[in-house]
Amino acid sequence: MSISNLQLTDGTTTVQLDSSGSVAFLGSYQGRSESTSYVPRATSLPENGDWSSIDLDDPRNALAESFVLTFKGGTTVAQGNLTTVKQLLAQAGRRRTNKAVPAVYAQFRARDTDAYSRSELLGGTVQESERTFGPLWANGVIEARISWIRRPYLEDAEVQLPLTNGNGTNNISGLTVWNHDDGDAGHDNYVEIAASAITGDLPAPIRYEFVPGAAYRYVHQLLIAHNVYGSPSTFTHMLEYTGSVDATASAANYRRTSIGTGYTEFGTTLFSEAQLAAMGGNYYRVIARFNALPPSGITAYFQFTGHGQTPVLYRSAPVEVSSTFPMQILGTAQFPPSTFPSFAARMMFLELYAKRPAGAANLDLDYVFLVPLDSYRLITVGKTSPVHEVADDMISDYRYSVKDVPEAVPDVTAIGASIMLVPNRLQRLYFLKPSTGANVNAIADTATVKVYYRPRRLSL
Amino acid sequence: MSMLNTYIYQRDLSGNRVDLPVCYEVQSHSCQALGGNKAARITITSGNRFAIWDHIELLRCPVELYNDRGECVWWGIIYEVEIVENAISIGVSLESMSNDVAVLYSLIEAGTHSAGQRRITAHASNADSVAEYGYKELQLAGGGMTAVAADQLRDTHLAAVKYPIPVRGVQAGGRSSAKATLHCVGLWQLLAWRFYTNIATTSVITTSQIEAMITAYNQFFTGVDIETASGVAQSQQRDGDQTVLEEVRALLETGTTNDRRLLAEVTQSRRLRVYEEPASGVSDYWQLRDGSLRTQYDTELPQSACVAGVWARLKDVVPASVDIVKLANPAFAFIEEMEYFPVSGERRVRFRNQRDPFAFSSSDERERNKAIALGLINRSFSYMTLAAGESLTIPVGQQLIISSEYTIDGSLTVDGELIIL
Repeated sequence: MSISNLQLTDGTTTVQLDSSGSVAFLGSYQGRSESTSYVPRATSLPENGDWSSIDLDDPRNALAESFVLTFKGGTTVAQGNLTTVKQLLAQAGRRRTNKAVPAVYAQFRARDTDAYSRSELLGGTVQESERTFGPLWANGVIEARISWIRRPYLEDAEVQLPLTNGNGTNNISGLTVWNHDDGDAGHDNYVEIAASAITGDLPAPIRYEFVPGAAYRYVHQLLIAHNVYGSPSTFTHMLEYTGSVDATASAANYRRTSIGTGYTEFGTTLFSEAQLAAMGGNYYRVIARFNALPPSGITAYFQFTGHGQTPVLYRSAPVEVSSTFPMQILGTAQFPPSTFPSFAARMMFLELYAKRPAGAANLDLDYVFLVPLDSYRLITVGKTSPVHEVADDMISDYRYSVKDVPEAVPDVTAIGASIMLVPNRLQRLYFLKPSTGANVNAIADTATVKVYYRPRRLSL
Repeated sequence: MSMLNTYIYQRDLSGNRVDLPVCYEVQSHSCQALGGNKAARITITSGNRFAIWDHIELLRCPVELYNDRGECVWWGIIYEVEIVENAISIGVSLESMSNDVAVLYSLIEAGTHSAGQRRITAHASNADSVAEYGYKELQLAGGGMTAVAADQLRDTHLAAVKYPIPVRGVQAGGRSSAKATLHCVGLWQLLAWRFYTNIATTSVITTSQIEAMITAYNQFFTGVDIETASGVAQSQQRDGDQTVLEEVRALLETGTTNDRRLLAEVTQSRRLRVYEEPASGVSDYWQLRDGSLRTQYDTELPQSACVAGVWARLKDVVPASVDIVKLANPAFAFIEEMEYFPVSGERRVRFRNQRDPFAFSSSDERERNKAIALGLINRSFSYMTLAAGESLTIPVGQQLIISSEYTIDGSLTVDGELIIL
């Protein structure tokens, strides 16, 4: 079987490489026994079957393909189209060192009625057949072998994903997320994507648009986390702490603890077997939100303990708690630790400890956010002027923010790999702005989110 | 194999990223019990040619390495950049720079020939270089000379080395597009940039002395945390012949009244943390028979991370039948250094009292050490000579390769390895 339609395009210039374009057809002239058809190759499965273990976007994993093409329509037309192919292949090579150059794609479809799938080219060569400068030229035909390297996957057309949380179901107009997540209706900082919404057979990156509410346009940092393997619908990602009342705190409550010169416990949560099963031994980052800026000179850590809060199953390394930032990363750990096997009656405590050698002071813990790390990304926006939108396109690897004017400014940098949606699995994306102003994290901030992706597959 | 992401920041420590359109690949990173992060080597595998060459301007810029979970596993600064394009290589290193110079000399009074009193000139510095990179002091050995000549030697040398000096190489037949290698070091190394002087003669607890040294000569750290007081007092007087790094290291090695060393690390927020070396016990890591390491909780090490300054206990290797009554228990070993290679996923460990495996490095490393060594000798001492009164120590685990042209009149201490070509 061969491809019915094959074209090269950079979005502006398109060359049809099959008979539908009346300028070329796949295969050699007059049926010579060269490679007479083209079928997109599929890359080999990794040995362990885990696609996340290799980087498909690493050029060293690119696919190399070669096939014969015949250009017709007279030598002038054929030569012109062949030149266009050469120029597009050269452009694909230049893009590898300069992202400002438009990407070049090979687009395929098995039938005229199908939609095109695309694969980005990374470079290529054209070699004219030796027969070209003899009888073929006289017949207005050029026969050439095209060799190129491309991404080892195909992408379908971009699709906007229906999103769900307490503020809407299957929303595509922009779903509201809050800057905290408590029991109040709609106060969700996540969006859920149904399993059926993600097609294809490979994990695929996303493009999202984060639009802050009109009164909440300060965006200096934005955290995006992804949960696909940790039972997203049953996993409790926010742990609230109570004892003191404050309407500006998540769940209107926080816990105040006087931290001494030796380590003092300032938060404890019991995980049930159900929660432990939901977390499933995956890795989570522990982020604490403090209702007031912590005093200076505090060091904190967290630990897991077993039944009766002994023995210690895991302890994180102590970290210095910032006194100028309302949220603090306490560490990353496997929840539960791998040495804690599944058992119907098991329980595990998460305990937080802090000390202040310079003298006792109050520490006000609002909540702990257990951040899933199936994918994780921390965005920083370069300027602090009002931000109307943060756009992070992990498909094309562009990021920018839209400011007041409005104007798009490429002042967004990211730490972390791309968020990769997994086909046929329910998953959640979590959003959080750690800072909503100078030394402030306001829980009342809201934003709307849209998410897009391109289904990826190994082959047609 | 796990990949690491490289992030470079502006030299002014503002935290602003330097985002260049290149692809980085981390070849290795390491840490040590005394000092924390030690070194990292990063290659640029592809990218815009101009952006690759821009890395020449990034000496002393902070670097952070993150794993895919967003954890920072190594942090430090860019210390040296090598760029190769076709047959030409250009290397530039902070090692070759000194922007604050004084000359140690033996005074020859006017009208005499005899070298007498040991003296040191006033320091001279270059304000622009200091503002850019921070103070990097040099005490140049000048032999016997007049005060005027010593001052002139100081000024001449400062003019030559106030900025990092590029070194050019030619590889005949070389044909490659621009490639670069970044050699990074941990922030601990920056303590070697200044010499420490203290004229007070009273005895002070050694950990308090460490805190005072860092505070007095601090350029880059945000604070000092002494977690364990040593309980040991000694004179705080220092004559200024040693760097802050050497002085602090000596005090750490002196240890505590518990008969254990003090260890140190520089945290990601640039705080120097001083703590007592742990005793073997519940905090011990585990080493399995396949050589892999697990935490004290019997879980995997953090992805792509190194760990040092802990004990490692063999879990399933030494049979119970072995009689260890009259020797140190072979099941316990203290991790002094660890190096991690992201491409292969390998971790190389150096235990206490073990010969440094890093000394027997690849031919590439050997060539690099040779280039640095030649540069060091050329620029830190007068004209390929280790003069009388000068001293150089090759530490354990390090290699120095010199040619037979070198004249050694001073004191050369070889704890590591000396190779004479």
